[in-house]
Amino acid sequence: MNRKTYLGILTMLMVCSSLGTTHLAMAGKPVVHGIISQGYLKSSEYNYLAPTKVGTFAYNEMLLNVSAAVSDNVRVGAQIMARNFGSEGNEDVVLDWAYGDYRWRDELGLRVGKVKTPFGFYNQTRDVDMVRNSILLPQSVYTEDFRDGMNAFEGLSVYGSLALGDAASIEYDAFYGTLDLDRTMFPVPTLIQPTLAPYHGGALPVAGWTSEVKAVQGAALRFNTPLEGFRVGGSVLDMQMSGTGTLSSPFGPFTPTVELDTSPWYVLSAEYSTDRWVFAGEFNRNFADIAINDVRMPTGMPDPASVIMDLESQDRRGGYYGQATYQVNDWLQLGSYYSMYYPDYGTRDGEGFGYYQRDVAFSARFDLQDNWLFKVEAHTMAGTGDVNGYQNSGSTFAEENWTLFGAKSTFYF
Amino acid sequence: MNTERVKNLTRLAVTLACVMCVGQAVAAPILIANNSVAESALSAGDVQKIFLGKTANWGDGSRVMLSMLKDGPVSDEFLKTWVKKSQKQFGTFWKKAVFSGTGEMPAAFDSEAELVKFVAGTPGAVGYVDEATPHADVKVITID
Repeated sequence: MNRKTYLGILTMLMVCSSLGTTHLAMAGKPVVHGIISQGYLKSSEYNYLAPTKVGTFAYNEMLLNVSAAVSDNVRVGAQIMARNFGSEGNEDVVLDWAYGDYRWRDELGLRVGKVKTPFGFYNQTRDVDMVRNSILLPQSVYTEDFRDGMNAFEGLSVYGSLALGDAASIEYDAFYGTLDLDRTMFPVPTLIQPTLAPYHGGALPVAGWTSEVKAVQGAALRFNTPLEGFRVGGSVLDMQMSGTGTLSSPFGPFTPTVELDTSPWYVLSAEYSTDRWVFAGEFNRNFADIAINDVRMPTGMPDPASVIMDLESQDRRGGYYGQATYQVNDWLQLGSYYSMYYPDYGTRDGEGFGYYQRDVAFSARFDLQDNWLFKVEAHTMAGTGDVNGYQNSGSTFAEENWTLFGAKSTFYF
Repeated sequence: MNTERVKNLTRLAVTLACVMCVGQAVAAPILIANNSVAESALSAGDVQKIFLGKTANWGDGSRVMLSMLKDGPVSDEFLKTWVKKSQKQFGTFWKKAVFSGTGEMPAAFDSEAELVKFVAGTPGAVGYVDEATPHADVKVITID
């Protein structure tokens, strides 16, 4: 984002915030809300999620939404977003969600349009910095690698809340649809390059990549237990997609096709909150099968120097985290999480620190004003299981222990 | 100082302390609604569901129009007692709903007088104020 745009949005945000009534919900009248966040990341080793080894400000989100209740049972709304996270987003303005919501009863409602995907307890708000303590969500569950595939789907969902007496309830979502991946290279940097880079000595230039999601479906259940503040949940996500494009290798160009089936990806979640404490933990596993066909692979011989062949791969990532946050007073909240990620859950006990990545994070959130906050965060990392070779070409991956520092400020109204 | 005088001073100090405590006690928040709302009583569970958006419509199908105080002891007491959330947690809950598209923020007010005016003038509106706050143009809903 250029400086003028940034300052213009910031000015708008400050003016709207000072009016104090931008979110006054009058029946039928559109209500506007917005966020602008700017962050900084710096790591001691490796580029992690972004060019963090040299330090990067390429980490921001801008959201603007409008919604209105058009009748007693119908709401409509839309949210646009511009974000930047390393090479992702590039501050392109995209439609984050937009749908109509018909709520027939508390137990049954219908949403049609582009809907944030209910997955785990925090996926639907993964881009909303001010609703959590930490800057980065635990990557063991909320991986940035798959963000474009998890963020929102286009289709329909049914949802509702079922009371179990006066003290408990079950909430559910079930959805079916597709994804628009026109503005993203997913799964090229996430799956294709990591698979091919070791054979070709690094990432390959890509041109004209297109992806098509055949179907995405899933469900989420949340049980608000009779113990006040304690809830548990489970989510599943199943996606089938294909893609193709042209890659340039030292041995010539080739046009692979990729077929991916997540089959399925699930998360188990638990959260307990009191007036000052929040404890949360989640565990997830993915079982994706990937076929990459018509791949040019080096033979190691002068003639033929390469052959075209089909590869099969699997994404069996998994992991878990436990988190605690404490509200010290009105303006200070402290938090910490322990996160463990395995790029292949089945080989998590393998020797070498590429089989895992442990992240112990400490964060502090300062609510400087009602609509302005600042966070600082430190991560002590062990392992390189989530360090992308695509972003670290030339690295020997020799350091097991490293650190990541983050800072972020958010305005909202 | 003789014993009798000490006793009198002690009694006076205790009396003054009791008066101060009573004087500083926060009156219980009450639930108020627009006169269009048919309900006159709600269970504690119903109140929580309404303020957490799990119940979006009154019994006659009309939309619930939530209102809240931005801060203060009345808000703290109401939210803690009936919604089981602190002010900050309540605000975060609704921010999550707004930015994920699953809900709308309650109308928020700096003063109880402004909230009463909103509830009085908005069909389906519900909110909370101190029982000592003038609220002649709205109905009070008892919480069972």
